[in-house]
Amino acid sequence: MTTKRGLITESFKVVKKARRGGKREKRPTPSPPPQKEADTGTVREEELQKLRQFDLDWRFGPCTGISRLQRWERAKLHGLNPPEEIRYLLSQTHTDPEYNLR
Amino acid sequence: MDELYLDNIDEYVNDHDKIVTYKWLSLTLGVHVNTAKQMLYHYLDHKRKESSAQLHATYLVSGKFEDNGQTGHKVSVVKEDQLEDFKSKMSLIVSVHVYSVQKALLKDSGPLYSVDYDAVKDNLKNCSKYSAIRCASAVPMSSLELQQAREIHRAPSPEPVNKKSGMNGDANVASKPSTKPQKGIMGMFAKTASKNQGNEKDIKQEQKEESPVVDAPKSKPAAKANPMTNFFGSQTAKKLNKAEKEEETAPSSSSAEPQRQSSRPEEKQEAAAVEPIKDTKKDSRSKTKRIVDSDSEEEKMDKKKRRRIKKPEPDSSDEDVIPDSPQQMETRESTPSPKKEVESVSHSHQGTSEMRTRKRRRVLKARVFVDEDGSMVTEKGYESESYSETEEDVQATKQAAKDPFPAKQPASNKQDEKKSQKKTSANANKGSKQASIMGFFPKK
Amino acid sequence: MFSDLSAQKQGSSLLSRPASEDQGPVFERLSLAYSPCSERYKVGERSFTRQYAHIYAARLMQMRPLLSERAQQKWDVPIRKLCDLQTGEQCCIVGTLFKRMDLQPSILREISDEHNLLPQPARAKYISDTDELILEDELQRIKLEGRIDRDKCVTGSVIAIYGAERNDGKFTVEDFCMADLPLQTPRPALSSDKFVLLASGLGLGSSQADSMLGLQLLVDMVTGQLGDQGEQSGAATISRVLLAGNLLSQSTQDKDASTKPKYLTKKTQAGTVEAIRLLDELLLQLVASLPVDVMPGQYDPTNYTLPQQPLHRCMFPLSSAYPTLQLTSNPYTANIDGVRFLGTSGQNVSDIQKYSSMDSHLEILEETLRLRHLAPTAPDTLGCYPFYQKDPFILEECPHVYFSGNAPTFESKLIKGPDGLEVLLVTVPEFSSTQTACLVNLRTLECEPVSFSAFSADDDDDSEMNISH
Repeated sequence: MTTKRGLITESFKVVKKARRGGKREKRPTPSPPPQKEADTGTVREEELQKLRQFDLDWRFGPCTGISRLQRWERAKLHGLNPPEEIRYLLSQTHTDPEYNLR
Repeated sequence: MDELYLDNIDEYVNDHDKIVTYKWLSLTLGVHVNTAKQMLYHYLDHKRKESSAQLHATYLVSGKFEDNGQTGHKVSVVKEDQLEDFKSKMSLIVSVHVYSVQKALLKDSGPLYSVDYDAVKDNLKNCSKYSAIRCASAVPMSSLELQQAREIHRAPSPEPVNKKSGMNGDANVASKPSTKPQKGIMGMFAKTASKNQGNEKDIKQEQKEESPVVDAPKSKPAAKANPMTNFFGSQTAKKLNKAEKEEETAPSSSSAEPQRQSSRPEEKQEAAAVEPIKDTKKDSRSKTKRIVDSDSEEEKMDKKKRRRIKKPEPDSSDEDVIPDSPQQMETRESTPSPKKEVESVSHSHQGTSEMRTRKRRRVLKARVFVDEDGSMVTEKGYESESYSETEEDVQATKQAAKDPFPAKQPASNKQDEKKSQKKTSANANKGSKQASIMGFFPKK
Repeated sequence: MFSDLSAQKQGSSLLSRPASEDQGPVFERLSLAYSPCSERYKVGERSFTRQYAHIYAARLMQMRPLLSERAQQKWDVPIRKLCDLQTGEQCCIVGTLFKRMDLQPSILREISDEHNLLPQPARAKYISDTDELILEDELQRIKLEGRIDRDKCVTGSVIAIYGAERNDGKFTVEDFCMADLPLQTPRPALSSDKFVLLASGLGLGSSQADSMLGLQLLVDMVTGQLGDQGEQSGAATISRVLLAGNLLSQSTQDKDASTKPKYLTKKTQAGTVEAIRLLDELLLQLVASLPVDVMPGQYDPTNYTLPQQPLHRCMFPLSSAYPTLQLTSNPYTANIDGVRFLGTSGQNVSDIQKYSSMDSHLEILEETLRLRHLAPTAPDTLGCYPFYQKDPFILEECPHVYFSGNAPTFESKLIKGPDGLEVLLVTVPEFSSTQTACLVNLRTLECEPVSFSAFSADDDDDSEMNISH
């Protein structure tokens, strides 16, 4: 039962990632040379992964239609203790649409 | 106290046959409301003693009143004969006074309101001058304060205003090549005629203002040419070519003559209702002109171009009695570069020029596309497509970009018809056919 | 009582000759401290792309702590999320109610039923025996049964329920609780009687003009024109007028305008234009004499969805010159001499009336206060802006006067709570049909109706009839 559930969520995640990733990966690839890109790419991937985890956290309410920062701030406002790390990530990269995501 | 007022009231009541309410009297004679009430009473009393002509009075009664166990304050206007009856129903009487005196017996209290209304309306500025209550804080603001108050009022909501202009801005492709022209054009679909006209107006105004800096608008439209051609995507290069030619003709008409006309709507921007008619004139003129032109217009267009510029001039000058000199100057100034002129002046004219060679119809189309979120969206909407008689079946093209035209058209319908009929009876046939197609458009 | 205060003390009657050259009495209008607090109902951004899921999420986020606390006090059982629910365990759940209603008008159903085109009949009430009550939390929903009045509840209320899940997956409710009254700032003791006059539903621009004299009498009374000195001195203690919506009549809403082609209606003037002009003149008389707050209502020319934004000043060229004119948003809050007013033009109440078994506006008003939510049925059946950060309709502070406008009759009630908490509930009657406004005494929080009447041709017949019998 539990394994099955895990599978479902995983496959769900993959689908999501595939769609968004498809769009995303295009951008970093052409600009930096391939060797350096491997490093920055993984860090970036990790960060994005964290953000996506945040998106999927049901405690903070629906995520469509508002930016990640708006969602974070709402959670904060209602005392739900959203992870500070997320805000840090978002404030660091506030110009990057991939991070802020509407 | 001299009792001249008795004669005054008598004159109002008997000679002028007026309903004299205490409020009217107070405002007319400039006395405190309570004095006016007493005057009326005195007059009534006086006349009753004389027992001359019959007078009718109404009274105001107010006090504590119980109704279904609910105690409240009640203020009533009652006829004289009901006065005592009414007073007896009140558990506590606060005030009783004469409300009005008149010769006729009032059926209902409607006229009392009218009298007061007229009196108050004539004295709106100092309607509470004679009342018994002063309010220190209720002083009209000076115009400066008012200005400030308005700004404060406006300040908190700049956003919607921006949004709005943004929406318009999208449609305002000519002056500002939008970053996402597709959307802007799609937006235009939904827009109503008035909006389009507004845009047109904007563009023109902009042009007028910028007329010294001719270069600026020139480069912008050029940059925009690309997205524009995108909209004609389904059309062939030949068509494009043609369009270009048409555009060239458009400036001829729009720069030489309509420019002048368009200046008039500008002047009368406030009288928005007048505006569409102006446009109509332009449209109809160009259309009738087209009717005059032969069917082979397309081929000849290039050659005819110059001639056609001139043609409208006498034609329209009889419509346009008042020439607008500065605008004309500017117009001439810009004629040398007609191409630029078209694009910057008038996208909506483009529709007009389009009319010259092709016909258009509106078709309900469903388009399916995948949106940002990855969901399929089906949109149904009327699109105008153009077709010419020769390539009628081939050219089922979408011409989103030209939508402004049909939107504008309805207003011009009648005008059109009239125009064309008046113009050339030989072509009346064609003209009316045109009009009937136009008949589709009123539904915006 | 207002009448008692105003009753004539000294003898000089107006039923006498003008005494002398001296001018009549002039009373100074009592002024009071006023601070509007309607910021929360201002909508700055106006983006309509968001879904309403956010408002429900924010509502639950805000209400959950309050309800959890109440539930703990009341039952002392574990509070569960629906996903952790064990069949048979007595527990408590906090969630948002949803009532599935067969009769609820639905645009989707209308479209899907298009082939047999049976228009859904307009009804006064949409409740039926087949309704189902469902409780939702963040993740799941569960059907409710048991000791909870299905018909009385409305969609969107956040409550805590106590009971257990049965084997068939439904939850048997043994008890439930609402967030109940919020905390109240004590109101200062006032030394003298001051009144605020509440009126709503002036209904200007309606076809029948006979109500106009009543309205004029109201204005004349407030501005100190009519009545004896006593009345006028009483009127001077009315320090504020609050017009709670529907200043214009429903009949000014021209349905044709949206369906007719523009070229046919170009020359016709909107019905609201004349009515607004009339309103401007009426307001001018008022604002020249005392401060007036004007709230928009369902039929007034501003946005339709709650919170309704203030009417625009430019519509009132005459009266807007006075600083005493306050154009306010539709849920209205202000501190008037330390007395906190909160209220709406009545859309929230009449919407709940349609979707629940409750009929009395006063009862519904009290229910919304207990739910601690101004408009639980928004956004389900009541238009509402898609907020996402906060639900501004949640009551964070208990008002002293809680009112709703455009009620069929005047009703009022003083609710007392713990710690000397006092709330006056008032349903402000629609003036055009009842010719009644109401006066709230800020010192005592008493409220009484003020009604106006004038004779008409019908009255005459009536009285004659009475005589003949």
